[in-house]
Amino acid sequence: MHKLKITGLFILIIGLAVFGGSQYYINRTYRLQLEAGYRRAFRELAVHIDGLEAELSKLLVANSPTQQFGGLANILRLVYAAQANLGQLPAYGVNLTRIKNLLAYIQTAALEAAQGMHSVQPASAMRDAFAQLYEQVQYVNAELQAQLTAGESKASWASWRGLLPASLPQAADSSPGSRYPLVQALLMIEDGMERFPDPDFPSELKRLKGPLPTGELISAAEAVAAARAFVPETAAGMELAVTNQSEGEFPTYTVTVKVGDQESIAVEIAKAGGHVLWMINPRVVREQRLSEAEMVGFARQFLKDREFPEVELIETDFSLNRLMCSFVVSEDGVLIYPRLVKVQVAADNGEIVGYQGLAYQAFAYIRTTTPVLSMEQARAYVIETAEILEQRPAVILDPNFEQKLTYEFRVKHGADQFLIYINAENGAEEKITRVEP
Amino acid sequence: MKARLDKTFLMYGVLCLAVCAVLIIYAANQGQPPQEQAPPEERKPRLTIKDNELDLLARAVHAEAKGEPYEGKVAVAAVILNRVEHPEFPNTIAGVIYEPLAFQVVANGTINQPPDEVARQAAYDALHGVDPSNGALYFYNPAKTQNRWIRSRPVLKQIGRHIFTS
Repeated sequence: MHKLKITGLFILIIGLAVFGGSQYYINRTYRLQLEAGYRRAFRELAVHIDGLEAELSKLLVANSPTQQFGGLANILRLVYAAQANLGQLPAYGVNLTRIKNLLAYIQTAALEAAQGMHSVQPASAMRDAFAQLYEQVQYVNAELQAQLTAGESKASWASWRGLLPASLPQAADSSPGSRYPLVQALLMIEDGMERFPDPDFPSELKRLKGPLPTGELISAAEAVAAARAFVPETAAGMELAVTNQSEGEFPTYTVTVKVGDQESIAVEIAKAGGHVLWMINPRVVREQRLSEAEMVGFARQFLKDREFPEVELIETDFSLNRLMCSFVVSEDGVLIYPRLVKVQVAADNGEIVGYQGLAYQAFAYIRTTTPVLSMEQARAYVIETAEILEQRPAVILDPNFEQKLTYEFRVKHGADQFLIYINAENGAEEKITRVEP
Repeated sequence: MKARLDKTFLMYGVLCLAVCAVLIIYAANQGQPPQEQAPPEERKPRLTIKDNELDLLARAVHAEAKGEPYEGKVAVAAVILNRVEHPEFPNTIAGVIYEPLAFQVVANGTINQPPDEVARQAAYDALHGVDPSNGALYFYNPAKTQNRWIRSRPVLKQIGRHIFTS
């Protein structure tokens, strides 16, 4: 009896010890893997910033398009890599705005310099901008190398593991960045960057945002009226009310449309001008009964009933038993791509279950340029090996949201099709889009 | 009587060992994403990048905005896409969602659950430009977070239980 008791107890203790040991081992393995990922990201960040410093310094002294172009390509590669490394560090919610903006500035500067490099070297303004960016990268690089050295000598890398959070959700709720030596190091670098002025760069990051809808401010009642005029009359007894509003860059009213027991349709109305920005209908469409042509017809009729100008269908996408129809305004035969509207049609009954017209409302196209080149002259700027299938004039946006009058050529090159946009004033190849099969 | 007691005790010992073994196997398998049970013939022959991105976005929406109104689900997807466009965040959907500490649903594994149709539809609407968050970069549930930093961000809108901030 006594012997068996001892044996049972022994087995129990061994079992618990094995369980506890395995838990410790699993926990340690996961922690080490996590730490290894963070360490790799931090070390690679240091390597890529070091490379970036070297490439920027070479760019400042380069005097031939060959060297400059090679340098710019390397800079772009290193910026993308450094941005990816930052995204792999546990730095969420930590203010690293200056470091991240520095990389974004370098990326924009390198892209603009590369785009402007037909035959001339970067303009002096651009060179000055790169010099400023180089100075900041030098500082970041020196600090990162110092942190790496300190990390190796003072505390062993393994001890950093002890400071990693026991659980990620807890860490997410704690004061951001307060627990990680790696992130603390970045925060110190961020603080040190306060002494640098903002880069005096022609393409400020602010310009990366497009225009916003404008007009006189409307009341909530006017927003309801605008939504009532827009929403398809699907059933009697629709109840409309403003149920929410938002502030921010372009304040809006949210009007909800209640039909019986169904979940509400939401319509967003801009407070400035009362424009309908979007409409969403949560109804799940279970089956397809209509053809694509029929659905496009419903979408066209929807826009016609709401007195939209002449539009042309440029793309359709069928998903979740809904057809997304993308239209752009067509003005005197010129496609105005910035004025884009998207209409979603249910494949079971043709109901309009979605609308998105922010870009359409924001871009007011005013024709300011007349083409210098004819369509036939523009054809000469398209690569010779491409077979031109279609051509038509079109207005597109450049990366800085400037409108460009172009000729659009749909071409076949090998097995792929592309849209190539040639500037109608100077023949520059403004944009190339691959047409998805 | 004694012999029966001894046998019972021994059985308990063996049982404990078996339970321990089961727990060890369970613990070792924790963290592995659940395998979807879709039969092979229902799978698409070739997924495009767009399909993959929609699926990941829909998983994030499904896990983060369960029980929220449809508009709130679209807004969560829009926040992720706003981050992709913003220079301070990674520039891919996967980069944003898997950014360390960014989403609790990644840390607790619920991101691996297959999304429902409504979550897919919400992600699809957001991918086509609908943004009920009005340009927000963060959102939080005030009942679940005490984080002072996130609470200090300027509020753009509240949808359901989520507050959307810039």
